[in-house]
Amino acid sequence: MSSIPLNPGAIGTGGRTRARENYLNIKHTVSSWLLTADHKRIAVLYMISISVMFLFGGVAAAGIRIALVRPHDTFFSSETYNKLFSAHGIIMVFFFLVPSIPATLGNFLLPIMIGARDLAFPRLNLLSWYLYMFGAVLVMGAILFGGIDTGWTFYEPYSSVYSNTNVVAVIVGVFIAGFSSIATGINFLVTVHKMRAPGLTWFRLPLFVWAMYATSIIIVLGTPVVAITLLMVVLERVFGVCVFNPACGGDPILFEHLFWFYSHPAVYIMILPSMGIISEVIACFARKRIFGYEFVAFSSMAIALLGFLVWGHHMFVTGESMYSGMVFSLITFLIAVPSAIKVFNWSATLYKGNVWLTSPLVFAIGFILLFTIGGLTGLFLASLAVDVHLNMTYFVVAHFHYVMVGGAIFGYMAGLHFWWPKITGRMYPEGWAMLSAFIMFIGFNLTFFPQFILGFDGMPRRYHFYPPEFQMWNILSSAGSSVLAVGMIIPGIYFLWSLRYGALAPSNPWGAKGLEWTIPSPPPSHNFDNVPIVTEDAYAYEAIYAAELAGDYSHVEAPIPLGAEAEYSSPAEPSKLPNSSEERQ
Amino acid sequence: MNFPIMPQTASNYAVSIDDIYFTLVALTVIFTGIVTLMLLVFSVRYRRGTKVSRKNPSTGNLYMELTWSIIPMLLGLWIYGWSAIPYSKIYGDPPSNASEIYLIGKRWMWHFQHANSGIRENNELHLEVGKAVKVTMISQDVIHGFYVPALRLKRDCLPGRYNTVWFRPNKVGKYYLFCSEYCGTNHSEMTGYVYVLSPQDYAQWKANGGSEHLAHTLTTVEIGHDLFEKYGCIQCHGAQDNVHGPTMNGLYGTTVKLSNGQSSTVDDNFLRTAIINPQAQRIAGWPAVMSGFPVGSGDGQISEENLLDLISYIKSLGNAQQATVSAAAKASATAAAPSAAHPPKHHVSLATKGQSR
Amino acid sequence: MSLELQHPAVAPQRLSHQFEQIDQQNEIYIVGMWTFLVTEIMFFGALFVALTVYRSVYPDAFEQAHSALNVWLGLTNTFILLTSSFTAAMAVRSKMLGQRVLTLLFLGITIVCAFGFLGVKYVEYSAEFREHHFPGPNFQWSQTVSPSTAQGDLAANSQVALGVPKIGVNEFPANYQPQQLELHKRELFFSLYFVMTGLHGFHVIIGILVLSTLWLLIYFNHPTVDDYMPVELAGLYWHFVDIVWIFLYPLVYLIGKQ
Repeated sequence: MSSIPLNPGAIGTGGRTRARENYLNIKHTVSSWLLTADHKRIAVLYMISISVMFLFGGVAAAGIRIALVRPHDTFFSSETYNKLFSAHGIIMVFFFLVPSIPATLGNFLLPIMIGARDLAFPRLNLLSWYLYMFGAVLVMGAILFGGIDTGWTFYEPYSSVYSNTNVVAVIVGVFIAGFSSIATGINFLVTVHKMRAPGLTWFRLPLFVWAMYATSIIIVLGTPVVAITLLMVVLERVFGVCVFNPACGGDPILFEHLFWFYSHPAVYIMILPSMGIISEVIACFARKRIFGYEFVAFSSMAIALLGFLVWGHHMFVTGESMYSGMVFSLITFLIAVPSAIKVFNWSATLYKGNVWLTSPLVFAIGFILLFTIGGLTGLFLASLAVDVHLNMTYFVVAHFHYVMVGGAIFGYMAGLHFWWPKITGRMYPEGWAMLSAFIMFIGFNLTFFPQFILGFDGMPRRYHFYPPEFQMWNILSSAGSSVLAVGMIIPGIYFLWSLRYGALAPSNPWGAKGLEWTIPSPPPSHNFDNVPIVTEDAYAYEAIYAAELAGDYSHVEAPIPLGAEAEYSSPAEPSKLPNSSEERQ
Repeated sequence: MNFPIMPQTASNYAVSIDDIYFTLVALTVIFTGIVTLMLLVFSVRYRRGTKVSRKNPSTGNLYMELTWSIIPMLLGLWIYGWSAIPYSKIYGDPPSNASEIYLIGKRWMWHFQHANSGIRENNELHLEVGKAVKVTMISQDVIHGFYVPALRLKRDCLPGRYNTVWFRPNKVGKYYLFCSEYCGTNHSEMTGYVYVLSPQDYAQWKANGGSEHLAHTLTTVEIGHDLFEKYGCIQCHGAQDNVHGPTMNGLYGTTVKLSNGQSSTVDDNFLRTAIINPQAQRIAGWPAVMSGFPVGSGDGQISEENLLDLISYIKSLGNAQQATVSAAAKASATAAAPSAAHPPKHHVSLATKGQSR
Repeated sequence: MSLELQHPAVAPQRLSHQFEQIDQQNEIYIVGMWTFLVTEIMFFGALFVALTVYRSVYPDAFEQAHSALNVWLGLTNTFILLTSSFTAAMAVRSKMLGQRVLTLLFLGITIVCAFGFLGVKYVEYSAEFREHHFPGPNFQWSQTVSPSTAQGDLAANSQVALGVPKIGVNEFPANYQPQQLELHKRELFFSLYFVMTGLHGFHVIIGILVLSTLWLLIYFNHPTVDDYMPVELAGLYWHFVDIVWIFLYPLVYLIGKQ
C-alpha cells in the first residue's frame, strides 16, 4: 500500500487511460454484463433501466398535459386519464426517483469515493438490479395491458374494494422493487461503515457519501413498512381479508398513516442524494472547501431522522386529531431548517471562489434555485390553515415537482454531467449541455409555476375535467412541458453521441479533488491498484485555488481528441495494449 | 384570456388564510431573491479569471451558520403559530347557533340535507349569508373530499365515520364545490355549487321548498322522529328509562359509562355506532338486547341519510330547549298515527333512490 | 459468545476480492446481517402497530377472538422455538471450535425443531380452517362463548346471529349488517393473526431451507462452509425468527385472557 498522488495531473499519465484495461472493455460478452458483480457495471445497467422507465413515465406525463389543454378533454376517456396519472406517479416515484441517484451514481461512486474495490455485497447488488427489473417488467406489463387507476398512493378502500384495474400486479411489482432498494440501502450502510480507506475518517468523507448514508438509513427503516402495508392491500383484494376496509371495521386512515410513514421519508430518499451531488459540484467548481462542511453533513442526518416524524402533515384534512396535526406541522417547520442550512452553505461556498462556469455547475445552480422555491412552498403546505385550502390541489403538484424535478432531476443531471467523463471515458459537448440546462430551467418553470397559481385558485389534482376559467394556466403549463421535454431530449442525444464521437476523457477533466478523480477514466475493474491512504480532508482545494489565482491551470487535464489517443498511449504497458484499440460500447 | 390569480373569498376563514398565504408568498420571494442574488452575484463576480479581491476566503463560520439557522426557524415558528389558530377554528367546535347540514358523499355525487328545514339537495348547497353552518359528513363508499375553494375549506369525507367542519359564508355568490380526494373514474365530475344567498333570497328559496324536486318540508328532526317509531326504537327508548333501555331524553352531549368500563361522550359518532352496532359501546346497566340496524337500502336496513335523521332527532331530545317538542312528539308517538303535518309522501327517502346507480 | 472463539485456528477462511482482511470481511457480514434484521423488524413492526391500533379500537371483539386460539399449542411452539434457538447457538459454537459432528447434530436438531414448529402450526391452521376462521368470504363465527368470558355483553353477542355468510366485498356498503360488523371485527383479528403468523411461518420455511443447505454443505465438506461465518449468519437469522415469535405469542395468544 502506498499513498497515491492525488493528481496524476499531466496529460502524459492521464492520457494512458485509453490504453489500459477498464471496467467497460475488460469483457464484452452479454453474460459478462448480466452476471457482473462489479458495482460500476451494475450502475450502468441501472442507468439504462431507469432511463427507459423515465421515458415511459414521461410519455404518461405528456398524455396528462395533452388532456389538460382543454377543460373538457375528449381525447382520453376519464378511465384512461386516471390510468395515465397513476402510471406516471407509480413509474416516476418507485422506478425512477427512488433508485435514480443511489442505484446509478451512488452505486458507481460510493465505493470509489471511500477507496474500496467494490460494495460490501457485490452479488446482493446484482440481485437488487434483477429485483428492480422484475418489478419494473411486472408493473409495465400491468400498466400496458389494462392499467391501474388508483394513483400512486393506493388509498384504501378504493384500491382494495372498488378499483377494477390491475392493482395486484402493480403492487406486487412495487413490493419487489422495494426489496431492490432495501438491498441497495443495506449494501451502502455496511460499505460506508466498514470499508473506508485508511485515513478516511467520517469527517473526511465527501458529502455525497454522507448523503448516500442518510438515504440508506431511510431506505432500510422505511421501505419494509410500506412493503407490508401494500402487501395487505393485495391480501384484501385476493383473499378478502379485512385489514383496512371500513366495511369490516378497518380503518383507511391507518393505511394512510402506514403509507406516509414510508412515503414521506421517501421524498428525502429522492432529494438527499441530489443534495450530496450539489455539494460535490459546487465545491469543485468554486475551487473551495464546502462552506460549513459539518453543518451540511449533519443536516443530511437531521433530515433523515426528522423525516420520519412528519408523515402526518399529509393528513391534516383527513380527520386526524387536531393536536396531532399541530405536532406534525411543528416538526415539519423544524425540518425546513436543515434544508435552509444547506442552501445557504452552498451559496456561501461560491463566495470568493474561483468559479468555473461549466454545465454541471449551471445545473447545480438551477437545482438550488428550484429547490429553494420547492422547499419554501412546502412551508405553505406545512402551515395548518393554509394547507386546509391547498391540500390535494395543484399547489401540491407544483410543490413536489419543484422538489422532485427541479430538485432530484436537476441534481441527477448535474451529477451525470459531472461524472459522465469518469463513467464512460468520454466528454460530452459542453455548449449543448449548457443549452439544455437553460432550456430545462425555463421549460420547467413554465410548466410548474402556473400550477402554484392553479392550486391557490382551487383546482384539485387528479382532475380530468376542470372549470373553464383555469384553462389559460393549464395551456401555459402544457406549453412549458413541451419545452421541458425538449430540454430533456437534448442531453439524451448528446450523451449517446458522446459514447462514439466524444473526445476521450482524461482522469481528471475538472481538476477536481476526491478519490474518484485519481483513477483513470473509465476506472479499471478493481478501481484501485493499491488501496489509497487518505491524508487530507475532503475538498482540499486550497492548493488548486492558489495555483489558479496564480494563473496555473495545469491540474485541469485536457480531453484527448478522438483518434489522437495513440500518441498518448504509453509504450511502457505493452501487455495492456491489445485492449487499447477496442472501441467501447 | 383569463388568468385568475386567486379564488373568491366568501367565508370567515378566507381572509385570515389569505393573510398567512400572502405573508408566506412574501417570505418566499424574499428568501428566493436572497439566494438567487447570492448565486448569481457570486458565480459571476468570482468567475474564473476575474480580477477581484479574494482575500481570506472562508470555509465556515459558526455565527453565519447560527444566523441562517435561527432566523428561518423563528420565522417558521411564527408562521406555525399563526396558521394553527384558524386551523383550530375550522375543525373546532362551531358556535351554538350554527345550523346543521348533513352531507353524504358517494360516487359521484354530493347529497345535502338541511337539518332545520329538511330540504335536500344534490350537488348544490344553498346557504344564507352570515349564518354559521356546521357540516357533518360521511361517505357511502370510498374517501371523498369536501372542498369549496372560495370558503378556503376542505374536509375528507370518510366511510364509516363522521367528520365535521363549520364556517360562516360572508359573501353572496355562487361557488365551486369539488371532490378533492381521488375517488375513481368520474372523480373530476363529482363537483357542484355552493350558493350563498341574501337573507331575502334564502327565505324565498326556503319558502319554495328548495330549488328542485329534492325539496322536502320535513325537518330532519321530524323525519328522525317518524323513523324512531317506524323502526320501533320507541318501544325500548321511551320517555323514561325502562328495563330494556335508557331514554333518549337529555342523553345527547352527556358523558356515559359503558359496560366495558370506559366512558364516552354521546356525540354523532357514538350514536351512529350505537344504532348500527349497539354492542360495541353499550351504556352500563342495560341488558344487551338491541340487535342494531344494518346500513343499507333493503328491508330492515337503514340508509346513511336516515341514520343522520335519527341522530338529528335524538340530538334534539338532548337539547333542553326542545324538551317540550320532544314531549309533544312522544305524545303523538303514543297515538301511533302520523300527524297531519307529516304527510306520508314526504317520507320517500331520496338518498335511497339515489343509491341505484 | 466469547471473542476468543472468533479466531479458530482450524477454520480456514476465504477472502472476497473487495476486502483487505478476513476480520473486515467477517465484521461486514455480521453488520450486514444486523442491518437486514433491522429491515425485518420494521417489516413486522408495521403489523404490530396495526394489531395494537385495532386492539384498542375493538377490545371486546379482539378479546373474544383471542379465546378461539389454542394457547397450549402456541406455548408448545414457543418451547420448540426456544430449544431450536439454543441448538442454533450451540451449532455456531461447535462450528467455531471445528467440531464437525456436533455442528451437524445441533443443526439437525434445529431443523427438526423448525419442522416441529410448522407441524404444530399446521394442526392449528387446519383447526382454524375447519371452523371457518380464515378471513374471507367463508369466515364464520359460530363458537359459543367460553365460560370464563361469558359476561353480560358477550353472552348477548352469542344470541346475535353471527354466522351469517359474508357479503361480497364489492357490494359494500349497500347491505352490510351490524351483526356482520361484529363478525368482521373478529375477522379483522384473524386477518392480522393469519398475516402475522403466516409471515412468521414463511420466515421459518426460509430458515429451514437455509439451515438444510448448510447441513448438506457441511456434511459433504464443501469448501464454502470451511469458515464458521455462514453458520453464524444463519444462527443470527434464526434467533430473529425466534424473537419475532416471542413477541407474537403473548400479543396474539395471551393478552386478552382474563
